[in-house]
Amino acid sequence: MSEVEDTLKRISSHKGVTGLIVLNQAGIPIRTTMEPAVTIQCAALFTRLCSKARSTIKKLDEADDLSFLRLRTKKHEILVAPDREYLLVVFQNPQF
Amino acid sequence: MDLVFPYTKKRKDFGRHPNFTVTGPEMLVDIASNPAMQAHFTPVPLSTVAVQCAPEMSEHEANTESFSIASRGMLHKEGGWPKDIDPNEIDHLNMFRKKVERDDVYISAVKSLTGTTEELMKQNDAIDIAEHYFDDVVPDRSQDITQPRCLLTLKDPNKVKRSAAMISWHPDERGRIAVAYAVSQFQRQPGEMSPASYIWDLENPNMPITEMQPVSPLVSLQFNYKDTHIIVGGSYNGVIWPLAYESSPIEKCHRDPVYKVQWLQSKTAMELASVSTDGRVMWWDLRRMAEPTEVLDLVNKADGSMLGGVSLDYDPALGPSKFMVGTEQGLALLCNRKAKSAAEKIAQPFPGHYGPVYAIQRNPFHSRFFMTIGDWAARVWADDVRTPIVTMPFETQYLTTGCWSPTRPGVFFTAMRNGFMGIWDMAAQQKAVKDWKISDAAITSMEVHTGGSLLSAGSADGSVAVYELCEGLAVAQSNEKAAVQGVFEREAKREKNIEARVREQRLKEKQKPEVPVEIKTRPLTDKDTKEIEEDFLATIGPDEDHTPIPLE
Repeated sequence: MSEVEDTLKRISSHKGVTGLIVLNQAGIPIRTTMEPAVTIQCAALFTRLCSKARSTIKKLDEADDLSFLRLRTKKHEILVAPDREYLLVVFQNPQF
Repeated sequence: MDLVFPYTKKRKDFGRHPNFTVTGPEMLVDIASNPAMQAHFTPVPLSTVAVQCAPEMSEHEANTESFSIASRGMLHKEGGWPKDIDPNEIDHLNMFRKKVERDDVYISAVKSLTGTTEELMKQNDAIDIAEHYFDDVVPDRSQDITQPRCLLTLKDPNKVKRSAAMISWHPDERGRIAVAYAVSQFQRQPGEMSPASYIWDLENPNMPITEMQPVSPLVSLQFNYKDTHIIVGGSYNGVIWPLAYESSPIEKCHRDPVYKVQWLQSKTAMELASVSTDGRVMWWDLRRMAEPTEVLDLVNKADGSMLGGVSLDYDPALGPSKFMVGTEQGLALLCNRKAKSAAEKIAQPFPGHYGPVYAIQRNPFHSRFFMTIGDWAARVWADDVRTPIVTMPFETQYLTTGCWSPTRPGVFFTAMRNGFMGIWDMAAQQKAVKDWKISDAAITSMEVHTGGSLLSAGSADGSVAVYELCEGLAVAQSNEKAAVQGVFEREAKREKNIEARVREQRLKEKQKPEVPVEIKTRPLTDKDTKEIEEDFLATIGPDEDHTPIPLE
């Protein structure tokens, strides 16, 4: 339990990270560092996006599966890590 | 009565070979005709029977119904909580969350996910993989020109179809256009035709957002560039009709349809100019529509005849007093409003078109050059040269209208009677870059949005199609302005040289002194005759036997 806490804390204190959300497949935010309204909106949008991406890849090749989703936007980068049950979304503003 | 023929045969005759004998005909029954029955029958000497030896076919029409689209948004309020948990109770939610966090699957999932994520985050922090690499090389997309993409088509909602006479884009918002509907052919207007013109919002192509109800259908219209709620239209009966202001009285305005109205660049932005085929250009002030501020008669300087104006162009780059008028007779006129006398107001006619000049427009980037569209070709002119500097090759169809692209200096569009649109690029080559079929009916109006990427074309059946131009046509290249300027200057110089040479020739001919040519004659003497005869006989050759050959 505390390892989970430590890991998540480490990530959210990484350079440039503006937010972190852990969701389950139903769209329920389990852990979040952002405001509730934004969290709920992100939950809805990213579960949909993830399932769409996964189905696209599966349609192209049955044996393939989605391992990571990286969205580069004008303002920041959104990293989405999907799992069978859960989803990890990290908002990062790369500093270099 | 029965027709029965009984015969007997002896027993010993059964099986015997029959002996046939020939007997004559024996009448068995004779039924005479009954004349009394004839009264019951009528003779039918002739009867017509239709016979056809062709396959039978029937015609059916099927069309999909047009459906209206409405956009609605959806709001996601709360995640998919399980049934037994009430989303409003925060304690329940927290308990649920704590339960999940104790789950083994959760712990392992988080560990693996954070592992991969952290790698990538560190990568992001190290280098910027999405930077713009070649800053100095701007992509040159002028050569890959693809077909304009039709975004939507706006159909005239009235039952009686009119043609889209003119289109005006809203100056600010990208998504609005005003369309004037009218039937331009003389006396072809059906009685039930509605005079309404519409403003459409491109987000909602099924119904116009505003309907304008002038007394007579509008033939031209334009948004005011400063106050976009004001639209002025020129109508078929010659009246200037501004939206929400009083229109001009019918006695004082044009006697023919007002083919173009244009707002003038002034501080108040309330002045407009209108031109019509009755041969007059009128200036109006919106606040005092009772009479025009100024009237100019278009008189052809060469022979004093009146010219009918079909198109007008007021370019602010030239100044507030100079403007161009395209006439029905094929002349383009450069006029000066502030000139002293009426004769000087029409500074210079540019002859050269064989038919009415339907569109005339200054190049938005180089104001010394302008383009005219009429008859079968488009021509580009320079201010100081009387003949066109560039003439496009003649098309097979009439050109109805055209305009420069507001973003690319050398590109202009032409519209043809058969529904085709042509795109010309002066910097690239001197022939049409592409020709596309936009609609089945003739294109009656065309306007490009000031952003350069949207083009609207109205056709004779009342539908207006909005096209999105590809990036190659909308975005200007870096050195295009200079290249186009070079092309124009070169052509202008060529024309000037030709003109100078022609003038020189004419001057030289005038200066040559008259030398009278004397034909020396003297009377023919006998001696001469003999001499000539001898010469002649010598050239023929020795005398041969000239006895006539008898014809058999």
